[in-house]
Amino acid sequence: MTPDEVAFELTVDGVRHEVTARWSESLLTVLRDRLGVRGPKTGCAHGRCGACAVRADLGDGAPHVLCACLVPAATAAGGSVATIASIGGPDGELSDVQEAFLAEGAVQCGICTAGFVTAATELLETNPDPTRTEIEAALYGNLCRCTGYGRIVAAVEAAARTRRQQEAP
Amino acid sequence: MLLAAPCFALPETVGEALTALADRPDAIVVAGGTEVMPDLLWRNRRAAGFVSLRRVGALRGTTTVGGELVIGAGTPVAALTGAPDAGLRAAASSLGTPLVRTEATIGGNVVSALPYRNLLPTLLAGGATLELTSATGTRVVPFDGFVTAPGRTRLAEDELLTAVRLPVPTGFADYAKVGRRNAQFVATVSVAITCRDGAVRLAFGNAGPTPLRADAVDTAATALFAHRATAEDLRAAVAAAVDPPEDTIASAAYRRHALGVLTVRLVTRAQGAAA
Amino acid sequence: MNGGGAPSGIGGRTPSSSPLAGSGRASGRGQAHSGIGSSVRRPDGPAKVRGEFSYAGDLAAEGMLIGDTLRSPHPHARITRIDLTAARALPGVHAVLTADDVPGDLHVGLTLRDEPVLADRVVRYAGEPVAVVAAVDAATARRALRAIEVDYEPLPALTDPELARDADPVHPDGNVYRHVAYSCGDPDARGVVTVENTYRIGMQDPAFLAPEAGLAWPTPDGGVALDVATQWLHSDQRQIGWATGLPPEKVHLRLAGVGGAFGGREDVTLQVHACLLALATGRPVKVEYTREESFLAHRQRHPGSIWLRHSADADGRIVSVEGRVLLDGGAYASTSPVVITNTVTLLQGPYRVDNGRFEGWSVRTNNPSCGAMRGFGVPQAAFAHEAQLDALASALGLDPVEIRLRNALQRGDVATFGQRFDAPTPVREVIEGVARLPLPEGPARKAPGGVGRSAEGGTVRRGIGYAVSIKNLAFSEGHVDESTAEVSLCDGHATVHTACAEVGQGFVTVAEQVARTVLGASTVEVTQPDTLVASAGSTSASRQTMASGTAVHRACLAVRDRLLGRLARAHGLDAAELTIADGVVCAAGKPLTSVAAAAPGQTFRATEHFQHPDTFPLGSPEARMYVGFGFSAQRAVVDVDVELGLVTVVQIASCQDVGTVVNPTQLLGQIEGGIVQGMGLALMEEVVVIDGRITNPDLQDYLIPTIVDAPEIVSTYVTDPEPGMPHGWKGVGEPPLVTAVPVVAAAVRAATGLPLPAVPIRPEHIALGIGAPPTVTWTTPRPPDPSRPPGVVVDEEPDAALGTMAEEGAPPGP
Repeated sequence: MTPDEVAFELTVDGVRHEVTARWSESLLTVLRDRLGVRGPKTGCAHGRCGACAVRADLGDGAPHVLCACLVPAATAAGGSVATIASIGGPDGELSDVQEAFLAEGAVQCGICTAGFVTAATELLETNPDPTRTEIEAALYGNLCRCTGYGRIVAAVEAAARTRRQQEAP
Repeated sequence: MLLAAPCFALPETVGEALTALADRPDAIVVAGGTEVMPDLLWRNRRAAGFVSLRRVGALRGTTTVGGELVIGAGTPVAALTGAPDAGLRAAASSLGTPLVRTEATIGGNVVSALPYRNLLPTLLAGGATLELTSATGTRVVPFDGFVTAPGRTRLAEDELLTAVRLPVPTGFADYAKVGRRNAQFVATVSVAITCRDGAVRLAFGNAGPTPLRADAVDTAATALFAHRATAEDLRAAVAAAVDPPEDTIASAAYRRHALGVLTVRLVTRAQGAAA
Repeated sequence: MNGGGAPSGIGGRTPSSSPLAGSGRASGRGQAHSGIGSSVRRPDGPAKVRGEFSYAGDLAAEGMLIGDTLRSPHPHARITRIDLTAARALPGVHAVLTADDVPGDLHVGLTLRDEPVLADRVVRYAGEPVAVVAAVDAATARRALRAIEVDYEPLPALTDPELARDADPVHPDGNVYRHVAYSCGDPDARGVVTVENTYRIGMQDPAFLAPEAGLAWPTPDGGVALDVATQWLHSDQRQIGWATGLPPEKVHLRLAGVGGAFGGREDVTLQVHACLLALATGRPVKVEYTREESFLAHRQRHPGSIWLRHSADADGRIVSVEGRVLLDGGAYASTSPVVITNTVTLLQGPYRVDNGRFEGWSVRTNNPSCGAMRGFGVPQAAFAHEAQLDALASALGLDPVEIRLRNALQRGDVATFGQRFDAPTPVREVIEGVARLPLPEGPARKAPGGVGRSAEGGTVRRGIGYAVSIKNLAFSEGHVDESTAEVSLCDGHATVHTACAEVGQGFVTVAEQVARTVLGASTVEVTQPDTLVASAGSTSASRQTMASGTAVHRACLAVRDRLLGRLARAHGLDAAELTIADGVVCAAGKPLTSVAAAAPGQTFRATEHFQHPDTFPLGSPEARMYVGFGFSAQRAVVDVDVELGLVTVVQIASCQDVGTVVNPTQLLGQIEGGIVQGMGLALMEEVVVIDGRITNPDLQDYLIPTIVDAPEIVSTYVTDPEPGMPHGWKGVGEPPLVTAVPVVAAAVRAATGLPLPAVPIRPEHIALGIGAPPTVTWTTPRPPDPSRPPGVVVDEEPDAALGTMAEEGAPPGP
């Protein structure tokens, strides 16, 4: 280890890792380049596009969704990160949100998709029946260049509908 | 767990943070990282290490003490979107994006000290004070005057901003900003207002090199609020008080114009709330 | 949500209204559930929603090095000295290359081959690659870049395109990429009213969300391989071959996962550099750009100015049009010589124009190079001609829809550039279709200013605008438009192989749908595109369903015929009586066997090529510049906070000429995505270049629409099959963007009464009333001079030196 490196533990999608990284490296760089976790994507690396969104428990309150590119990785020491790989079932089973993104055509090039699915999943956890305005308010940290967003809104609405129907007695 | 970290500290108390800072004079303090990380990557900011405030629990959370909101400097902006102060709430709710607000902190917003930062006009209009803590103790300074130039403040090298105190508004408070798209934008200009017992106080973002307010503007706004002056009078007062930047986002002329328009609208809203 | 109330039936044609999302609600068009016409899901979708799809940025290889690029900080400078000693001496640095290290031809380019792979003693734009390095990791590579010593002698930068024609050449090839000038009929004919104005269009960035990335490695045959996110594998292959000196068969490309393209991946960026580094080091080398580099390296949409003069009679019929265009092509040619003719020839819009005079230049400057972006020169034209139509309507007191109907092109009309519209030309139908779509109901959900809450306490005005566009589809002017597909079928499993770059648009789905429909395949694998199969051309120009889709269709038909021939022989039947439907082979209508069980273990293969009929340069006697055209009409409803100049787009209604609906969900995705990109250019997207330098190369200050900005979109279609195309399909990707630019501007003009002759419309254009209105002149009608020849007169001979579209697309002739 060189003097400008930091060593720490990090749990990613349930797997514990020992990480050695430069002190200034972002959580996104550590995930992608050090640990080979490629679900979070690099779109802008300055917190604008949301392609790197992950759900993280960083020992600073409740777990929440954030841009991995903005988090100094070592501040996540001892914490845990759930990427897109933690959404959906163990055998490649799709979550209701993932299923809806596919069915409604919310995926084109797909580079934004993991981030959108992550943010939309979080939204539906806290608000199972969001209005269109609430969907937009929750997702404007995620940029999409292909779809024009119409199918993404449709997918979130469809997932919410499915979830409500399944939960109905 | 942090296993080893010669140029990285993850303290859990303010005292540990101050010690860590003293041990690493070339390190920079990082809270959420939303400002510092892009700066390091994109704006050639140099540093020799981080002192992270993420685990300093005492810096997070809001309490009410003697009519003031005491907001820990490490409180994430997301937590302020439900603040009792409507002005703070509005400013917090339009900051960055939902994904940025979970990390960005009020302390980072203040210390980064750029004139377009979302929360600053609200703090200026609301008469906020700041708790600055060093190894020798804590001093409390007014936010007004704290920012001396873009990105520069009166924070001493051995000090940490530990809390922001904001008098709980008893009257109307609001915030609005203008940008070139409808979400996720840096304020082209912004305006915050408080209105207490008929006295209007305004503050502006990106209207000059630092967050800016002026007695003459407040006087004109208070007069407009009481229907003793016209919107034109207030716009003229605003135009005279501000010195907005000219850049590729907008001309100074547009900014001056928009600041006047936004100011009149916020006073109109205060009138509506008072009616 | 979208188009719930869309009318059924447009102009008596087969109707298709959105939404038809989800394969469970596929339209009943008599096709197999999973075939053409149904909302088949993307085959790459499951991997994408799981985050498992591999993009170019995810590439990695054992022992790979990281490549990085040193770029010029100057828009124009002479390199007086480069010292690589320190950089090469750094531990962990494996190669540092400059122009001197390029083994083959230094120059590449999509058309003119005027661009050095690495700067050749002179840099001509800020961001031009000067040197490349390969090192053990990214940090070492960055250190190596900092250790390269370069002395620049700054030269005067030519940054004003207006000055380019007369300025000292900033390149040995001169400052004019192409000048076109032609007339038709009597351009001096006049009606009762003449309107003229100058329109300006800003520089738009494709801003695909995954920055450029690729991984190159040396191959045992002495060649090089490259996995890369691109739009055109064979064009990259050719240019890599030029620079490395390798023959094409030793340059092996495969498509890596592409995160959007929109034209911005048509030129090479890192392709050649990665290959040079891999060859120099003998190791795999990965290059991945940052967002900032992405802005500097790839091509933007041409900014430009367009002067137009329209004269019309009292009924609003266009009597004559004159137009002049100046596009800033930046430092290197890219596709500037091609883009300019699109802009100039389509200034007429989707309207009949018998008399006109048109001229245009694409010029070289020291600004960032411009090239392909979705719409390829036509959004610029559409923004201008639609503003003119509204100005005419306003002068004559006509309804904006009515004036467009009166001038609508019809099948059989002849374009100003001489080509007869000999395929369906449903301009009237798309206009009528959009006019029938429901307006938004109820109070506005979103105020201008959005989350900034600036509108409360102010006044918001609503505006409604209309726009119609014509977009040429496929390559033009002699650039050969072709593709090849290899298809195999075994036990009901089909494999489709083409070089068509899937960039997000959904070709993989279309290919699967074709194989299911034609072959009755139960499973379809669309394999990774590569250079082992012949070129598919670029994924651009709305062309891949037409070109590669048709090649796949032909290959599937050939495979089907082989299967049916085998079955016919086996069963003693006439092959002509055998058909395939829904995976079952029928003889004279009676089920014979399933496709899966028809010939156990036997593989049937076919390779088929498709090529559109030839096209010819502007002014050629064949009078066929373009393969085909698509038409689109839109209506925008906007709310404008006039005092602050802020806009919210409430709704955009769209009716588009789509030939046939291949996949309703994917079609809607193209419409909605294109509209929002066009809206972005109309309202917010602008690469700001000051003194030759991009000042906003990031996603904080280069603004693309967010989900809050996106309007409600109501979409309907005219389905008049395109002749010569399977199922009558045609390209659909560009028209939505082309129309969205003028339609949003028209609606904002309607709300404000302001001229707004420039996009993007800045808040201050509205709030401070910046921009000159059209000049309206009441003229003495002057009918066309009958002695003037009716056809096209090109003021200069067709330019023989247009270059080629990088490879097989050479213009015809010697």
